[in-house]
Amino acid sequence: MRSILAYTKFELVQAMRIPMVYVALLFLPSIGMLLFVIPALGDDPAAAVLGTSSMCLFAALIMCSAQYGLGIADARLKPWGGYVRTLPGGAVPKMASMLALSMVLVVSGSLPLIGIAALGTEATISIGQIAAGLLALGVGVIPFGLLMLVIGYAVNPYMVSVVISILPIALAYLGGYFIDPATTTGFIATVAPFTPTRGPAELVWFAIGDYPPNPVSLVTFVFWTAIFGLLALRAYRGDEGKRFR
Amino acid sequence: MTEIVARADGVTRRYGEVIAVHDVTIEIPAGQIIGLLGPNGAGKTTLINMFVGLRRPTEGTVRLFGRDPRDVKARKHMGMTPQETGLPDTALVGEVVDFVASHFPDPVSRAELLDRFQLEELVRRQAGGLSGGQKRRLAVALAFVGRPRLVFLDEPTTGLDVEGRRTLWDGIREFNSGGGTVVLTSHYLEEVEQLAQRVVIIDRGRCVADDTVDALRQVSGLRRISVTVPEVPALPGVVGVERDGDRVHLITADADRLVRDLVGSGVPFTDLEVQAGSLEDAFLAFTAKTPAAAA
Repeated sequence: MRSILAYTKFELVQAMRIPMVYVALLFLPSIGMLLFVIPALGDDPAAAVLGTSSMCLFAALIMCSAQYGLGIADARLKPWGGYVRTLPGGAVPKMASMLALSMVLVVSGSLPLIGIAALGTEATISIGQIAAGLLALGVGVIPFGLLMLVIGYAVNPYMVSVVISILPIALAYLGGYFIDPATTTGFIATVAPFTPTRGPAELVWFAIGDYPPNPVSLVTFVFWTAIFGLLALRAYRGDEGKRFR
Repeated sequence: MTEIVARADGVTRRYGEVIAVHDVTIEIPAGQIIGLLGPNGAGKTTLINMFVGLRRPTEGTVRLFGRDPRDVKARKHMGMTPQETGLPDTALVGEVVDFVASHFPDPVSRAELLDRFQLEELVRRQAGGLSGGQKRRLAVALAFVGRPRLVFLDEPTTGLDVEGRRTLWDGIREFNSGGGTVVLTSHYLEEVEQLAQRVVIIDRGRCVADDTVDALRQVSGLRRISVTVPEVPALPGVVGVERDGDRVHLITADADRLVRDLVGSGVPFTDLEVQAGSLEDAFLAFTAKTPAAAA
């Protein structure tokens, strides 16, 4: 526990030292708010709330990909990352601290998006619902973080930037973040319950609105979390830093 | 019997086609300072990386305190220097020390550690802004945070000035006299001669020599003859000449004959000294002896 706290503190302090990075990460979700949520769902209070939360999830996905995918790939290329692996810490504090850090980042990253929603849409929501939604978001971000851990450790570091610039948008799209959550027909609505992005979204929607979660989405949520967790542990243990031929 | 704190048994590590370490067997007993020497690319770093759990051997076994080095428990009593380029640039010195200390059950206090390595004034500085020598001192300090019993010091004094180097040597000796074990790599052979009791020479992935410093000097069979002389005459049997002002060092395999020739040549020399060849001579002799790889 002591080392989890120490790792979290270290990661958080380092992350806060260059705050502009996180402003840049919020760019795409903000565009999503302006081009999709406000014009398409802005007039319907309930849909606007759900749409805003979708953009918060999208932001979470992007932040995780930057924090883990890029962060880890970068650390694997640098001697410091190798040095930390020689310390008697192991995988657990590292991963736990990164998950804790993502929760902090995701909550703080959601606030500007909620601000846009408050100004630009008819969305109304109580403080209690916001709190419940952020809590659900904190849980929902776990599989995203684990997935990006897998990518950070298992993918060739030079390839990671390519993968993580495509993956968040693709997953957000397939998970139905860019359509009205109430849509039940069409390609996206059919495949979405099986994607790793849908379960977390439905959890958040359930927390902030009267959205009835699809049992299939919740089962796949648990399934993907377990799979990504196992793969992340395996990838961490199998990692030996950069490999050259 | 002395406890063996780390050992490698028939260890081979391949990277694809390249064999970085080839069938190396080494025991590291408690309380020794071991110098690990070898030309660049000889496999020293790969060998150390296997001891500290960063890489798995392709064949053979590595043990650290009786366990697989990849087991967290094996590394509780081990310290290592990060390469100086590897410090996180944006982190403050104090943060780096605290972070590393958090891994160990009974770490040295931050104040004590920084004082010991003369880093107190830098505690609020970012690691990226330190000078080369300061980074090096911080890197070495990190190896000692967890009160280790065994430390791996990779090039600990590169970039340090003479005084910094002496201070660090004293620190290493002090650690060793308290029972600590040290594995040291260095480009400065003099450093290894000063500190190490035992030298392991690695060349092209193989262990080509493993003996005491004195024994290795003898084995090379070379002698160093030093004289103060204005002009060096051409003499047979000299395999190397080093100048240091008007002090001249002649390296030869046959010291008796060279001295006779020197006297016979009639040059006016003073302060004749004959010494056993240095570790450097031995090192060159050993790494040259290995058959060249087919190219």
